[in-house]
Amino acid sequence: MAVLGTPSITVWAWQRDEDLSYIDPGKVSVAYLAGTIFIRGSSVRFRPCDRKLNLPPGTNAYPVFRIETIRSFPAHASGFKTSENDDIPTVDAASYAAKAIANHSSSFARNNVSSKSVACRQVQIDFDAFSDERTFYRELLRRLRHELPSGCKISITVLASWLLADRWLEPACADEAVAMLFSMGPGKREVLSSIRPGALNSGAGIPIALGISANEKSTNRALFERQIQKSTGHLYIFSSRPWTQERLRAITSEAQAR
Amino acid sequence: MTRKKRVFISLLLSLTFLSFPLPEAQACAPDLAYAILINGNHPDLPLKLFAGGNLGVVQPGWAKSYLVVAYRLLSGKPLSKLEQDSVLRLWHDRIISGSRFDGDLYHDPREDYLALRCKALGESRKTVPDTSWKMDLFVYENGVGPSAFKLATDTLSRILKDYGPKSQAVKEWVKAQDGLFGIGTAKTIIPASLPVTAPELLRDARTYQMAAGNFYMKNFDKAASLYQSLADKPSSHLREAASYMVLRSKSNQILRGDGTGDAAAVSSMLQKAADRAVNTRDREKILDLLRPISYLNQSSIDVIKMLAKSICEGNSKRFGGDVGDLTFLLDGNAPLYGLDCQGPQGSETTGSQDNEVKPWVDYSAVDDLADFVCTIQRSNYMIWDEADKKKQKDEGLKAAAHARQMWAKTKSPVWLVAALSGWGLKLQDDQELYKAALDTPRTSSAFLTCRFYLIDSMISRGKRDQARKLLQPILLDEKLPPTARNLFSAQMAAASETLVDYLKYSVLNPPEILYSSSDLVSRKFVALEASDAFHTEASALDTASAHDLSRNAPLSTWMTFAQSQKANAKFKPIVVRTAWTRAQILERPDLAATLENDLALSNPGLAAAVNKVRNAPGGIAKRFAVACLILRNFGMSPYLMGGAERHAGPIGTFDYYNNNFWVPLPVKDEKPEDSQNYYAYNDTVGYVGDDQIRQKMTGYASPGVARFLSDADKKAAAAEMLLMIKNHPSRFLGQAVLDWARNHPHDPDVPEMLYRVVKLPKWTQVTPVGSEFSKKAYFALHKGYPGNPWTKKAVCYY
Repeated sequence: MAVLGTPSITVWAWQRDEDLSYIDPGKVSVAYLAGTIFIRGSSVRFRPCDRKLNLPPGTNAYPVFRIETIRSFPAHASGFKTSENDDIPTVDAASYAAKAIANHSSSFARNNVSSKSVACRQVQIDFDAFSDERTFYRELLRRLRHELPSGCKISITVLASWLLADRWLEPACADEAVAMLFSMGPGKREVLSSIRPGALNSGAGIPIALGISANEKSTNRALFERQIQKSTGHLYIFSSRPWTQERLRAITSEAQAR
Repeated sequence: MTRKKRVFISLLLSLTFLSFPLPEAQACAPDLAYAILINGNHPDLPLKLFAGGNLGVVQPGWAKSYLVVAYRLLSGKPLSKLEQDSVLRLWHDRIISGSRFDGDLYHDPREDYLALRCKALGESRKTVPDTSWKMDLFVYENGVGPSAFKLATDTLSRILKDYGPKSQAVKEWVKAQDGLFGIGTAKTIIPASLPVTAPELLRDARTYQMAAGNFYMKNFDKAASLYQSLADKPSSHLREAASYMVLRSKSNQILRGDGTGDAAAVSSMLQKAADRAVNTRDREKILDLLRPISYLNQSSIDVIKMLAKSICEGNSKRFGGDVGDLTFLLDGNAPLYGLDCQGPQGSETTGSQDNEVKPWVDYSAVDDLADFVCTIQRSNYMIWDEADKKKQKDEGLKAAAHARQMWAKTKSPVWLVAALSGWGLKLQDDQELYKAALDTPRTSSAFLTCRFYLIDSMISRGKRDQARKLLQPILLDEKLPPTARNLFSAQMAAASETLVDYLKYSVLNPPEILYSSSDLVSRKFVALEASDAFHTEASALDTASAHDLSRNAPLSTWMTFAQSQKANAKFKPIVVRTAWTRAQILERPDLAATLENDLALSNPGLAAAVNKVRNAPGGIAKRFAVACLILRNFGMSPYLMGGAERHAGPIGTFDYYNNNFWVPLPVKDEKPEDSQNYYAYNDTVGYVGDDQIRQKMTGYASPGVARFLSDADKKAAAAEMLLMIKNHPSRFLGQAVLDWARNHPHDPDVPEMLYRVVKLPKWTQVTPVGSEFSKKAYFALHKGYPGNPWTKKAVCYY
């Protein structure tokens, strides 16, 4: 079991203008949405996020890339027969997506996030891969490792199910897996009923971090009561509304107090 | 999430120059299917029935565009066929742009063009993804849309037909086109004109390329003049496209150009062109260019007034476009958001972003239509932070009070519906409103909404007889939308006089199953929209009803429930299976036997196993056959879940979230999850829309079945609950398997069944009883069957 302690905090700055000038750069890092990569079959599109982001000097900020696949709905979910060519993302697409991420990690910065502060210490990939997209995702992570400068870490967001039951990640595919424990939809109860310290396990030796939303108090309460946040050591916090100093203080205090 | 999504989609639709759909999907959990019993975000599919006047019960959570149409219908002004078609285009565009359920609809013309380009140049098609990727950002930043690729494909096809692949003519055209699409270039390159001696096809194509280059470089006057030269040539295949692009260039010169140009003259020109257009779609496309010009130098309020007037008077020639623009503004966006030109006067927000700071923009004083839409939606104020609950109530009550005032002032069906909806005033406290609702004639579009709230009031006051009287004729109406039918059916269950009726009306028919919390609509959307009739999925109970029956109904009730189902009832397979399993666990094989024919017929996948049970001689043989049937089908349970049973998974499939078999319900009922949480109400039922409707639906399930039970029934149910605990599945099934194994060790089914008993706690929940039998089965398996494949799979007990 992980040693229980105070988790380090990273806030997500997502698809909106954010003023985070009040954060203490020594205590809070920022993972900002750099853009979204849309993939259909072998076709790859990158759409940068052009929202403003205001950070104090010295902030540890790094980019997040959201991946969306555009395809016919998955057969496993619908029970419908789909066409043979179901626009499953291909290995070629993995190559282009890896290049896109690497290019934009080093050259792209969201407004006043200076290129120095994003000098590729870490990138995060946010992708809810369907089961038939996993080959693509494994390949993407492999290629991304080659494309990124050495020393640049790869963080990935992962569905809770990937850490609770369906452990399919490969060893060393990433340096951190962030369990996304918010906006869980109808599966929330089942996921929360399964979670306890040590239960989140990638099965591949990847360090686990926790991803929560500042807007889901009852979910957070269930997690904090079991000290899940302290068992992982690193806490990512999403907000479905613009960040405010008060909102940030409230959620970080709660996470650290329990 | 829903509000954000709505705003996002509004943006997509308003900015018609976007070239690529950007669906939002932010699920952070496994996507588990769930049933929608009440469609709170949009009317039931197909939407053409709604547009055609089948309003159903107005839902405050509907997206604004549906509420705008509801307003028209409630005002007694049905939509013309042209208006219906126009608004359907808006809804389809919005839903398709915001979804990712159909790859065919995302067929990308860019890929078609690049494939043809490869053929033309004699290159391998394998280069297409690479070329596509390299041009991606250029195309995005320069707003090169799908129509540009479609036209390029058409033109290249024609040139290929005349000159053949790898010809000089083809190569030159492709090279020029590459300069427009950013292939191998970092900027738009306008090609040079061809000599007059060049063939007409190639000259026209080149002129179009030059015009397009100027268009992309925002030289709109020059572009318009080049396009005009083609538009004037009756023989050119590009004439039609060029004619439209002349208009678009003129419009862009006003909206996106350097500020020069005569807006009035361009407007007049566009209007004349629209008047000349032969078909509706073309007319609307031209009017889409004209409309934004009329927004110049106008405040949001002025534009809202203008659009609302046009929509209400039924004289809009682009009805869907006007509804789209109006709702875009009502979402807090500025009229010309996204266009680099003169913005609105006033202090409105300039994009969706600020909309997230303000929960809504209040346009209630602007226009009656805007007031209705904002008020009825405000009653459904979305909870962003759980701490906002008080604010939600305050805002809902304020909206209700305003709606009540407006109704008092207008006495219109529109405001009657608004006054009844959401946090609407309790009817029993408001006799005037009550009477107005009661007097609303069947012919009014407000009839069903009024009836719903009237009946709700009667039920809450215990006037079930009156409620039933109103409900009976409504439920006979075959044209009821499924959502309305479910609402009235739930009311009929709450008002029912007999147990049989209660059970009958508790069964609902979901209009949709959603497979992800990010889905806007059913993934059958295209097929459902093509249909002319409503569709429903497998029947289901609401979560609260399922929970109530599972806890409180005695076996006799379950038998009644199962036996009262008609042969072809959608719910029959589920309830028969549940009742049969319950009868077995409650040690009533005699009652279970009476269900076996129905069980086999309604669940063909179980027929062989049922036959084995039926043919088993009795005693431990019968119990082993029962254990085999249950242990091989992970979804067997004596309890019912609401909505999409096992998240729409088949009963024979293992569920990774331990939703397998069952764990006996505890004597003391567990406190339900926080009912205010957006998703807490649901596990296999999803609820979207108005929180008040959700609360009413939950309320209809209370006091539930207890109302029909005698003291003896209640006593029986309590005793059965204890027996279900005693006959924990591990004990009941485990003992049957162990007994049989002891007496018939060579039965080939024994190792598999022992293995399943070993795994049972792992598949359900670890309990002392489960562990006890897991351990017993483990040792029986390993001692009795070393080397058996099932033994090898059972590496430990649980």
